[in-house]
Amino acid sequence: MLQTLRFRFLLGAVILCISVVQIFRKSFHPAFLEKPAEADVLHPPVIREYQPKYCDNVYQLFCQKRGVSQDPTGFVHPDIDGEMQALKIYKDIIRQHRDWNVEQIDEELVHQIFNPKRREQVLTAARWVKRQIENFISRQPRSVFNAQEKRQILSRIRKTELELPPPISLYADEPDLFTRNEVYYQRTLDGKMRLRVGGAFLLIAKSWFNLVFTLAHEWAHSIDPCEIRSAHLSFPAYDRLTACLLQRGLIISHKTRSECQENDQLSETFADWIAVQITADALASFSTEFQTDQIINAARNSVRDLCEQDEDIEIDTLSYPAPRVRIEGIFGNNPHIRHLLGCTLPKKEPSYCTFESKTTGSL
Amino acid sequence: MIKLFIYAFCLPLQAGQINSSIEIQYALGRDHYRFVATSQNSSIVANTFLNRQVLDTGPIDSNRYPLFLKRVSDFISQIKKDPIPRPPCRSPFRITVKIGSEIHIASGCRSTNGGELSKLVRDGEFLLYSKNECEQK
Ligand SMILES: [Zn+2]
Repeated sequence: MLQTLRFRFLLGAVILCISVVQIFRKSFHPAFLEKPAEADVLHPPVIREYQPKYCDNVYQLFCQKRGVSQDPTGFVHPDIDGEMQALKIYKDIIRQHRDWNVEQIDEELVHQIFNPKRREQVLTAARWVKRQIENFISRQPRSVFNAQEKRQILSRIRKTELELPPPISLYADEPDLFTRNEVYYQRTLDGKMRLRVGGAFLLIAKSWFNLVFTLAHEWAHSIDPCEIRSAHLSFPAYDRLTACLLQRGLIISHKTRSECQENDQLSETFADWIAVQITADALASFSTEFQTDQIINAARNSVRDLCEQDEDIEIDTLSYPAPRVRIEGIFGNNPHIRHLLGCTLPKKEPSYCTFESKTTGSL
Repeated sequence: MIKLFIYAFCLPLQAGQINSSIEIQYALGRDHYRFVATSQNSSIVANTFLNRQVLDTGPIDSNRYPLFLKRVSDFISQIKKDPIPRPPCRSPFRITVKIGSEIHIASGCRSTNGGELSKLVRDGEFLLYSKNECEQK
């Protein structure tokens, strides 16, 4: 009797453990996200006869619905929501501590916003993204990058640091970032390469895929063609990719365009292009777990915040391609993304730019 | 009695003060921010915007505004006197100060000037967000 009870107890415990593990796997857990290298998980794009209607207008699929959007790993809110939330926290602290100085208030603000859980979420995504970009460069064939070129690119990726408070002194030269919605790459005057994350971003970026795309885009700036040029380096593979992006209209080629100068879109298009490869890895690693609509929601959340862009402002640098170009042309045309969305490849071949692209005709 | 004291302490700028305004516009990533403070006819009001959507609006401390106006004006003078040759800029800014009929404009890049732009923005926002009892009325 006692043995039967013990057996039932053990069996129950095993079933419970399996269930917990299953639930845990499907939740937002770093171990689950640390999937095998992208080469193992990306399937070769399949050319299909038929495709869902949304494949003809990925921009509309992703951007038509406004407001909050959800995928199995979390939400993406409009930018302004994060700023409003951060602002409320800031104002509450000021009102509750009238006798505090600006530093004390910032200290408490950082304590409340950059809490261990939110920091860990960003740090986990950043580690994953950094490794995936390194893998992406490392696996390029010799015809793309020779050994020295790879070393030079990988060195820049590795030297780039993610700075995430506390302490508040980390952003001493940019205290307004504590309530901003930005993640951005910077090369300082003394050559330090860093990524910084605004507090409002931590409050609203809950989707793994949005974190991946955003961080990958920013990390890619450390190796974008303009940063490479300012380091007095040049790579033929970059020139081929640039020529292709120009030919496809993914970089606006206006009469006064001067490469890497004000208003040139090369840096941003390149950063998007890298981020799409990394996001495809992230989506592919979940493709067996997610149903089609979940994959679509995850893909949408990757680039959801690109849907809106304020273009009519005096200091606009025009350095970002239009939202439709970024979402439809760079993200939605990527063969792996299209495969994951259940879409056929565009008819024109070769349709998507790579480091090996050959351009046709004059630019 | 306490209310009277608060009122006296929070009296707006003296009559006859010259009208002035400060506008700080800056890009950060793909977002555009704007801070505007306007002193007109003895009242001082500030607004913050994100991509032309209002983040916050309200009166600001009239006692601290003149010092802030001076800091912004000094920053403009410093940029004009000592322009830093800048590479293509990812995060440009533009500051406009109007004092009476005079207009002063300077533009630059966020990553230069030792973060002064960011500190100015932070201080301007603090003026707005730390509205005290008198401004709450
Ligand atoms: Zn960028």
